[in-house]
Amino acid sequence: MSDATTATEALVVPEDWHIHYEYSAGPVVGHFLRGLAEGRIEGRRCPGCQMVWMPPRGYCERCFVPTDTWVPVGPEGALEAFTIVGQKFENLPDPPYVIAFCRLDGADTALVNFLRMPLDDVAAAARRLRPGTRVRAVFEDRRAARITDFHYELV
Amino acid sequence: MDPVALAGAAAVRRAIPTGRLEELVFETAAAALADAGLSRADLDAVVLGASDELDGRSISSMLTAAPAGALLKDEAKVPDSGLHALALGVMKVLSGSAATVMVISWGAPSECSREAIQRTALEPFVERPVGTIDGVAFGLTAAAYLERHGRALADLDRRADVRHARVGGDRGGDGWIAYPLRRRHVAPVVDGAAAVVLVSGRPPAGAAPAGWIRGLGWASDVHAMAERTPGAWPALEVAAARALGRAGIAIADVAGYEVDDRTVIHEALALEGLGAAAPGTAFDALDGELGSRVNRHSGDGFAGIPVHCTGLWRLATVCAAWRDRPGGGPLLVHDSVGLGGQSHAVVVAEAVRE
Amino acid sequence: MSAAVRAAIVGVGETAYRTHHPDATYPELAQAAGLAALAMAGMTPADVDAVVYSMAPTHFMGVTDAQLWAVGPVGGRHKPLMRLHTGGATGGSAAEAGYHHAASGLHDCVLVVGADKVAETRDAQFILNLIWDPFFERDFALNTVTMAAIQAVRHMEQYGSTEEQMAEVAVRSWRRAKRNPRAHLRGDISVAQVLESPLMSWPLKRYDCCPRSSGAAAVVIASERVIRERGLDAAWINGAGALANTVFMGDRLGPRRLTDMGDWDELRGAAATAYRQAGITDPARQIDVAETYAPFSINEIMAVEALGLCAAGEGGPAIAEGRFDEGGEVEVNPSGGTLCANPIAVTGLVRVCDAALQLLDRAGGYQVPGAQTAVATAVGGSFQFQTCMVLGREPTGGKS
Repeated sequence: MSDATTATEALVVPEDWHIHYEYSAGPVVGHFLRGLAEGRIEGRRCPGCQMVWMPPRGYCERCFVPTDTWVPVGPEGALEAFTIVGQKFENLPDPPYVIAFCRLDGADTALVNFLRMPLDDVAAAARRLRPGTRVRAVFEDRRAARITDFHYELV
Repeated sequence: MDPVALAGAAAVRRAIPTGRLEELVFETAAAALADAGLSRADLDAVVLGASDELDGRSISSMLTAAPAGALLKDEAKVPDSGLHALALGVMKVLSGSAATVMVISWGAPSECSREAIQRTALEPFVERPVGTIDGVAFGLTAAAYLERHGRALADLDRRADVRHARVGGDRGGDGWIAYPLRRRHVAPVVDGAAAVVLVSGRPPAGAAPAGWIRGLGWASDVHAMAERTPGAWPALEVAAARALGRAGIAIADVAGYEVDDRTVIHEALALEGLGAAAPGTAFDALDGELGSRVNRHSGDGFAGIPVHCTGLWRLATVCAAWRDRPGGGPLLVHDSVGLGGQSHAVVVAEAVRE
Repeated sequence: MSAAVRAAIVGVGETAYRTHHPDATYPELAQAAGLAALAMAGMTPADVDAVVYSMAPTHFMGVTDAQLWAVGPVGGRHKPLMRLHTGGATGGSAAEAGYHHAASGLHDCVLVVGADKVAETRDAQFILNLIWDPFFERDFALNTVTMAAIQAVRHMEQYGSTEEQMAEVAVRSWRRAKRNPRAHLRGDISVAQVLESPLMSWPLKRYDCCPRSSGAAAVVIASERVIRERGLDAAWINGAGALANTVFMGDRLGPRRLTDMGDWDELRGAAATAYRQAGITDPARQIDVAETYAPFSINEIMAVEALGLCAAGEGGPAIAEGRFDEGGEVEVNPSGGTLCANPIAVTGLVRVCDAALQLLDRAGGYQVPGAQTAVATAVGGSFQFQTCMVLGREPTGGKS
């Protein structure tokens, strides 16, 4: 890194990438996402510890055995953690908006999603979002078998 | 070095995915534990051998660590290859920090565009515009070999004939990938995963190991192919020497070779780099006695190469073969990674004595 | 289990950390740190038996398998080289892997090196969003900032930590960094300035967040035999622990959780392993310096608690009252820490470098006089991977 390079502008080589992927959802995630399209949220239970996992997965990470049962969860549940995003991040929504981890009734773990509520006063909104606050999963009118087929609202 | 036990292993190969990547990882890890007669609770550490770019997820270990058995365990990821991950696993056992280690690796080319990814691995200023991705690099490597050793295209064709006959069916055709490499000189790729469970020299009660790791070595060459040695793999020679030295054996003691045979030229370069054949003579040696000792347990790659985990997959397949029939002398298991075989890893493995 | 071979850090190399290093290619940057570390150890690349390469996502600098590009410049030609990648914890994992290279008895002299050039693309946040599960998480703004914010919310709820206490972490870090010529950010800022800076993700504001920096770092790890033969100054690696958790933060909440998102339980676990190996039973008393990988202000509060330097929930008040400042019983992040420099691929290694420099009496303006025992941590993924290394002026030998 010699001083000589500071006298002239460093050479820059531009390039853009486009790399295509096709992620296999697998039967478990596939079932879950198709359920969302039909207005249904289900968790997956482990036969060992009996925990109902959200998001659903084909195996229990603790017992290390395949999960075996679909369990309907929600539509209501409890807020467990949140944040209110204040910056515009590339390819993500315009701020402010809330993302929240909510544990739907019947599930043992929380699932993240957008939470819609008035946000004209961010600090006041943060004070309303105490852990334990009841929430409801609300489905969109038009669904596409994606996690964004529903969002949370305060009950 | 002190030998490290291969308590269990699992190898999976499939042409199309049956589930998501994390499920493939879980299935393979669970199978290796079952083969070892161990549970996840017995693990001290997990080492992953996986590539973000192939997995299509930045920091893919975030999603795959727990399916690999690493929940609330020591976990590390070595992206280079399954055998490189194995090397770290072995060192953790030898350093005394872990008595039982899961090493797991995978590759799912069905989900990604490998050529686009390969291009991004090229040095951006002078190499990427020319685009010496794998297929092209194979051609360059093959051309250099033929030139340096006075061999001919017919040697490549003849070896391909033998290998296609072994797996039944001649796919690919005569068209050039990059002269002198034809499509039929190159193995098809499939999805796959492999896992082995390593334990220190005193395995837990009830676990009968499949075999032992007696030595290993790995080494890399420089990135620019033009700065390497045409027609040879000196980095492999370094890796092999270390592996044999650590195992305390000579090349003459080696009973068989499980090598990277993704193209007919890789196979030849691998055998010469390992010292199984003199430079320039691999094709002749393969026509003779050596041919029956190459990839005998893990099978010909023309049946389908699981990428990235290839060497670990071969080792795991060998372990399965040893379960059925223990015994036989030490094997050299080899894998290469990087364009034109930039990096190599070699393992000396041996079955439990019968 | 006892270690086969004892090993120590005998050389440290770091470049300056700033947004751009337009004066060097990526491999040249790594080479600079590697050569500096070797020089401190009185060695050359010919002395190196193996290389461990520290590199996290390559999307920022734009070359896949960057370690393969860097082989020649870091002296790895025809030598063993492997890369470690555990997200943000990469540098810590690389240092631990380097330790295992030597402690296994297979290598006498190991170069652990890496670099990052984070400004080769402006699409950094988009790239960081690629770390998430494409089915469940990628649609949301789950990134390191929002994850840290969620941790802060949890910590505030559980322990009553305040935004002012978090701001104190930032103020003190910047002030400490004034003594570190390599730091990216440094200076005098006030609690009010931190609180009034733009909201990133509630409750974290801009000054609560780390920068993204370009730069390189390296350490040379040698076996005891080489250290004795050459009479080298050494920062002995007496403990090395690591712990991984699930990616799903929702599993770290709720009544059946095994660990809590509001506590750095993974670091507590990694530290427990390292402390046991190093014979640390009273961290607050036995540890002189802690270089904690705290990319957000709340994380330093969580780190000092997880390391046992104070009780759970006490971190905020302890930091705010200056307990971990210069002259304190334990000095935390005398380098300025991750809030003042974050060359992502090597930040964890920088923590190890800055801890080792203390024990080699080479920390210059931020030297903690007479430091005997130092700790270095690194965190990565959804705050799910943690490493903890304990260094000492004397080797502590056998492990339990």
